[in-house]
Amino acid sequence: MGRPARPDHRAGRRLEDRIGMGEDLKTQLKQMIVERLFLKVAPEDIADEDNLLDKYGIDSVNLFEVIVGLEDEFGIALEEEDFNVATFSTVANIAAFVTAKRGG
Amino acid sequence: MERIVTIPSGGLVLHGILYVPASERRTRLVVVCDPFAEEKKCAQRPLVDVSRALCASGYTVLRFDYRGCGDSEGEFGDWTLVDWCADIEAALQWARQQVAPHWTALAGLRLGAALAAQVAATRGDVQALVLWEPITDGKRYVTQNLRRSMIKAMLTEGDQFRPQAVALRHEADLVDFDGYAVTARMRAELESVQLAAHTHFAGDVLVLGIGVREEPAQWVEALASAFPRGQARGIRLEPFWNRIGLIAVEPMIEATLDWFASIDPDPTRPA
Repeated sequence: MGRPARPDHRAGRRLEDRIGMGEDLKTQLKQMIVERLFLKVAPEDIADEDNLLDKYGIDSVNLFEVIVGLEDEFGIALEEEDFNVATFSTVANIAAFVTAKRGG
Repeated sequence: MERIVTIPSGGLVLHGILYVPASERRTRLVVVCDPFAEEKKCAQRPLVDVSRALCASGYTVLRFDYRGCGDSEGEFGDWTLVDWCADIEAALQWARQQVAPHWTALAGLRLGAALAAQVAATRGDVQALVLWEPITDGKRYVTQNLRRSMIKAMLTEGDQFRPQAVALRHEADLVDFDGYAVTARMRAELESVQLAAHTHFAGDVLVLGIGVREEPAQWVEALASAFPRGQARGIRLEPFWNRIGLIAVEPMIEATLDWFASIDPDPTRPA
């Protein structure tokens, strides 16, 4: 599933630390996805428009982890109507969803 | 040495495996309490690895299947958490009669940790408690199951996916809990799980957070602090109870053995 990740000094840092380092939302999301799914790719190697389900083999179990990550680390509360495949298919879409949920 | 054992509980026969070290001066017993349903299935092999590793380090270990699970008698849907706590008690009692331990620990994974804590808090013959990524809030646990059902339906039902329909199915008398039919009674008991109600257990407690970070999460620290003799630790490890495919659990084994060594009451034991 992709080439092994390069050493990442940000690995394991809390979200608030990463915000302090000036990372944008998509970068933060990529970091969260790589961490939570234990993906063997570097976050920066995930393109914003990559189909996460197809390219990284993300299944329902992985998607659950992503959603928990969105709730725990990005403060998003998902409602029933939020469950839509397209929303979680790319980092760009997830970022747009998070922004909308935050009232942005 | 490993041997298959049978344990009587509530008129049924439970299936178990007893791991006995080659030779030890003192018998230290660990009874392992399984997680729930699909998590038990995914965690099966890792818990075998953990049990074997503990045995290789001199601990006598009992793994067993709750009634209605694994190879034990009974049908899954006929029992609830009250019955499974009775099974933990029966397993503990049986093992203590078999090996006459000097020291006894209950070790549980996920829901097994919550049940282990509940049983340990009522007994005077358990010296230590190991809580591996414990379920602390039953309502949240059940809600997360709804989330999983939503996600699965979202990915598999295509145009037919209706989140409201999935939510309604989750309110029925028989709920699909990751492929297991959970009765209303079982669901109510799951939702009532509150690990905080058992933090009066007076023995040594390890709360081990298993997830994305090495350091223990805030909730792990808070839970450990609630026990009179609790310690929090964290390991970075995939949630193997939720994964298809084998995950090596060496970090979990190392953390557990390291903690056991730190609380070992035998002053003559080499450091």
